[in-house]
Amino acid sequence: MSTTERLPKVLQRLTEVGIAVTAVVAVVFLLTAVFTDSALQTPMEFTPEEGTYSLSSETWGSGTIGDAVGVVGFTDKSASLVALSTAKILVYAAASLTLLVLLRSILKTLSAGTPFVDANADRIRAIGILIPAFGFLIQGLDWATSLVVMNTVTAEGLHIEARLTLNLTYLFIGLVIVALAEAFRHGTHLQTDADLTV
Amino acid sequence: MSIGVHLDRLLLDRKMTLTELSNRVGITQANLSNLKTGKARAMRFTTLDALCRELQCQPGDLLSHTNTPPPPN
Repeated sequence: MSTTERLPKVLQRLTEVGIAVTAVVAVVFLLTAVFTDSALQTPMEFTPEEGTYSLSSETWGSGTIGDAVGVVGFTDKSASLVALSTAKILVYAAASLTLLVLLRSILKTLSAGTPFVDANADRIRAIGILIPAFGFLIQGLDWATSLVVMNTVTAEGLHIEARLTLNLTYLFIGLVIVALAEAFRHGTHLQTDADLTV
Repeated sequence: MSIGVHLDRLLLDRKMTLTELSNRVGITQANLSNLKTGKARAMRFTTLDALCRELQCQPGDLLSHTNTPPPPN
């Protein structure tokens, strides 16, 4: 068996291992989030209040600090924070498992020597749609968590704000994959034409 | 499809089986079956040449066209 024939089978096995590992890791993370006192962390924006700090330079004079980005963590968890962090873990797990299962199905057809089928074009398109969808969902959950933190905590000498990060990289990657899926679909039609040419 | 393939009739006239034709022209039975049942989308000139040679016929004996409206996409 040549390397090109062996590679899809190796990748298929790797995705199967990935599915199993992801499932185990997700369960461990969920148990940790619910039953242990590990710190819940959420991204926030910080602005120290004037007079609580000093920042100066011999060359540039006095300075200010604003819109610093960081993470706040709590050990005593409220039900809402546990629910949000659990939801985030579930979304991560669902995203990873769904993408790995789709990838495994594609590699399975590649191993069988019949990759140019419409079902694979649908799977590639689904991957292209799911990547930005899950990406935005996770960013939304991060924002929701930071909103809960912002409305719950009292900060002394520090102004904190919820942070909404819109990473458009997911969208760009998704668009590229969807475009490739449509090119692949055209390839499947050419394959069907070739198969039905006597 | 409005192109008819008369492989059945020609095989019957020549008292030849599909398996025998398959062996003679070097085309799989599955492909010849696709041709016979109208599933095939295209035929190579080399295939047409081989079929006409073995069945001792002209392309017009093998193929015919009927005026039927094209199927909706």
